[in-house]
Amino acid sequence: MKLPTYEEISSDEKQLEVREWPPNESLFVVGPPGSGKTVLAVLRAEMVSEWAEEKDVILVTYNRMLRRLLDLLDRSGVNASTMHSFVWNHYTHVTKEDVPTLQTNSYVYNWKNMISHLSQSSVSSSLSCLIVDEGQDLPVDFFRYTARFVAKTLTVFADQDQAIGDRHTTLEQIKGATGLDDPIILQNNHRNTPEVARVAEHFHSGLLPAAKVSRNSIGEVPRLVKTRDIDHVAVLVSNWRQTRGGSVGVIVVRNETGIALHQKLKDRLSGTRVDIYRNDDKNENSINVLNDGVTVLNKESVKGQEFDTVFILEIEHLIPIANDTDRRAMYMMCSRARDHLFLIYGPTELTVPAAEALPGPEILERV
Amino acid sequence: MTTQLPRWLVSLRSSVVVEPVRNDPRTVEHTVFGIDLKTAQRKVLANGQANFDKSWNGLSPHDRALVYAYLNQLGHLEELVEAFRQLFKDQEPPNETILIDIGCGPCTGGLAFTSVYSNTARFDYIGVDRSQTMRELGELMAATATQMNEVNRQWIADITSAKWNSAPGWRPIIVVVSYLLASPTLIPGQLVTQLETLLRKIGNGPVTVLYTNSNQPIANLKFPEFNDSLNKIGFKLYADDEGEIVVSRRDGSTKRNFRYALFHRPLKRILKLDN
Repeated sequence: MKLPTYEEISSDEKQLEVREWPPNESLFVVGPPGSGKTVLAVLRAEMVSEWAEEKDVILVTYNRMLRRLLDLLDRSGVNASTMHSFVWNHYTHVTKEDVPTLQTNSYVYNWKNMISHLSQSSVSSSLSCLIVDEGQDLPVDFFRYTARFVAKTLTVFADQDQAIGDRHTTLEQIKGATGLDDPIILQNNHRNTPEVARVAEHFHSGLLPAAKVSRNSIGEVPRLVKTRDIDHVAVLVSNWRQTRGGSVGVIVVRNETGIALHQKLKDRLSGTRVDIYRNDDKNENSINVLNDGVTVLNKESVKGQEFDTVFILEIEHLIPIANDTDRRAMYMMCSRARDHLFLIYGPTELTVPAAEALPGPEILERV
Repeated sequence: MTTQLPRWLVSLRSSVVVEPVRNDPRTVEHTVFGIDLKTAQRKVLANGQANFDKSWNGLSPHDRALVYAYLNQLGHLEELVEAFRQLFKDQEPPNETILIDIGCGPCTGGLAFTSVYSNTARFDYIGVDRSQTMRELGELMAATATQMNEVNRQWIADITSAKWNSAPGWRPIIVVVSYLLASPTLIPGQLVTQLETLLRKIGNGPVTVLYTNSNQPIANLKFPEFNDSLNKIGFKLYADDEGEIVVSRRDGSTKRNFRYALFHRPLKRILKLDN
């Protein structure tokens, strides 16, 4: 009897890693939270930029806070842009005209008209490479537009299991719109402790297998905490920050809660960075999320971010899970925490269906 | 080199199988429970195809399962122990391995797999056997083996009954198909389809299939269909041969010939999208 060893047959599994992918080829990557999509997007941008003669590589993402994070992570000067801003610049540059928007909503681009117009103008792709992060949250027409008129090669990172809007784009739609091959799956979760990952995974449903958690346990189970009022929340967060340090993300459902809490935290944490991101203020450039401190965000702006500790406030507004969109949002928000996760509610008790929507006490400790 | 079972496994077999048979008042020289060995193989075991949940001529279902373990399990164990030793050489199996033992009999694949761990084995075991009596004897052996204290065990009558509530992940899977394809009622394509349904539930991890059987051609007539079915779902054949191991018996060393094959499918890194 002579059998090959497991090591020998497993070594056949060696497949091209995302970081080894040729710079002149398009690439489609999917991965769960913490699998390093954003970092890989930046590394890919740097690599392609070094290769491309024109150095014309652009990183496009979903929101301004993530665009800011990409800027902070990038060391090579690759341009990062929100989808909205990138398309506006591209369209006005090639057509010398304003971007057409929907009559019903001037913030939404009229992709049909744009694509039709560029088709007639015989505009062709000129950019060496466009790299898209959080692709699932961008409109499918953006991918059609990009593939036809913008970039010679495309790299897309996405995870539709984390899509936060009702009108997200599925992986099939991205593939269909771009002609990309089936995506490579990233397997490892490098961000969360096993305890945090278990809570996030409770809310996971969808296409991707649960990631292998590569970190070791730190022995702290996420907690469900009832609070009396906003002052109580401020005490909790500030005490935690003062005694544990690190970066703290506070996710709010209602912006007014975020504004009130931000002020109270600033009062209690003098000498500590305490920021709030507000879409209306477009103040992302004044926030350095890579520095320790407290950042208050809402569920849209927290996408793609990560913190040592995350407090998710007002969970009574998020559970019981009403639909897949809410489930994906909970999955995405819980997985922002590297080490510590708190789900906060109060002052009223959770309803029975809300309490039942949460993981059991062995996974989410009740305080 | 002689293939030897680890001492704990010899003791286990002795206490759960060999001594209960030999110490039974019905057992006299050259018989098991008073039945001569030829009749035992042909009638009690029906060459491994018997319905072990039915009594036979005064033998209870448990007696029949014991006869099977007494006469057939040792050789099957030796083959699998040797196969696993070669497969893992001086290393332990990967963490969080899941072992699916199809046609498990009295936990034969599970016990052989446990033998490659230097200390307490840690894996998930799914034992599949249509005979409840055989599954019960398997659980008795597993529960008696302290080396299997940390093994999560599930016993089912067919693959479609497997309960897998964890989210799909990346855990490595070993499938043992030992002396199963000789069954006249088994349809290899159907078996592989059912197996693939379970594999998908478990996730995208690498899967290794170890096949052993008698080297009699008639016992392997279904192998080509089995091979084709696995090939269609992405498995590659790494070994397919007849081989022998040297085993020790009361009257000295002897050669044991058998058929074996090894298939492997790497983890699924590409997400197949319908488009």
